[in-house]
Amino acid sequence: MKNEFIPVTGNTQELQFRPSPSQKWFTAAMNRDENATHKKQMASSMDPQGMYILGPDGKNYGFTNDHYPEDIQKFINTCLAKYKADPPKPVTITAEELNSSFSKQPPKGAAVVRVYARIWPLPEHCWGLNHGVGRDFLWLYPEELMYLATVKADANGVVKMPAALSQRLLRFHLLDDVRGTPDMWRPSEIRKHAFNARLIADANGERTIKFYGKFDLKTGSGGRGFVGTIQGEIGVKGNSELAHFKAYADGKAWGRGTYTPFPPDGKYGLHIGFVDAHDEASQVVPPEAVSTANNDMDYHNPFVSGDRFRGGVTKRPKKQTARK
Amino acid sequence: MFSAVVALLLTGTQKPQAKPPTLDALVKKTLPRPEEEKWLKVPWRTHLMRARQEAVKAGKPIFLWIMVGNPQGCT
Repeated sequence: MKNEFIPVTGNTQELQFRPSPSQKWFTAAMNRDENATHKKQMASSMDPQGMYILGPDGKNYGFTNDHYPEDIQKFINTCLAKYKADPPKPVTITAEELNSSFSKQPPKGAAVVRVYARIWPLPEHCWGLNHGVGRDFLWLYPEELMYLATVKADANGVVKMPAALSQRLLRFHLLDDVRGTPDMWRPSEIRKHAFNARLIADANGERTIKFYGKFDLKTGSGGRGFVGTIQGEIGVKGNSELAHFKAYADGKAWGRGTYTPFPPDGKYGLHIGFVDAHDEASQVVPPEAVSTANNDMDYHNPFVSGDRFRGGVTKRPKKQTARK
Repeated sequence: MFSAVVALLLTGTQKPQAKPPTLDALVKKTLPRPEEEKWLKVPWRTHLMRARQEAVKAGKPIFLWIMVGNPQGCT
């Protein structure tokens, strides 16, 4: 992979639905695929996820959505042979293409936090994907960091958590994404919650705020839920710079989401860790809720309807019919 | 006197309470282990158009892996 290819990752939501030079180029290349598996997958779900081997001219040498190492190796060998037998045509990549945006990036001044989810203890005989790690990113917006850097504490050190940050954690990050793309919580599914925060250090331009929260999240039918607690610590320095962020949530979860079938039976332990991120991926891979919606409107202001986050896909609102 | 002796004996037999784990220790338990991040050893590029240019220069094909949620960061 390192020697024979230029490996790239991407997000189907952005490559299918977010207009950009990358989307235009990928769509044309994808449609050149004669692969029966790809055609079947697109016909059944309009879902192009998988692995493609492409020439820079857009020539399509193959597709697979198989994750067995032996099969991927065969796929690689076959496609490389095709590439060598029929190399790409010369092509120039324009400056516009090179400078275009490939993904929704964090707003200027925002900070990024990695989010990991795990299930433990793992019940015997549970489905394989329950053994995995859920991954996502959390964005903290500049105005939230500025607030944390300047908020005045009362005599006991108590401060208010930024409401949008608490709501964002509840709706988009306190969930089970261990088996795949989760359904995000609607505002109405936040049955109970309480966050307390306290300023515990404030010196030399750096302050530390600890927070603790309880939450009770359930779907309308009660078929899926997560009830537990969260504790964390946010360090800010200067006017609005994140120094560190660490948090841990745990509790009992239950039920499957649209794309997260076969959870452990009954109620199971779900544990979620948060830690500030500074790597390249954290600057180009948006949170799941942002890429699902192809914008960060609801993520930034998470008090509005959550209907767009059902089923892991962007849903258009129903047309309003005027009353006669 | 008797009750004081009993109380002393009971206190003596109590196990010392274990300290609750620190926040750092709790967070650490959720983090991926090295064997769960082997696929991140691949030098994945993060911009398709720049990867195209690199492919032209290197004379190599592009290996594009796309999922609902970028594999480098989302489940």
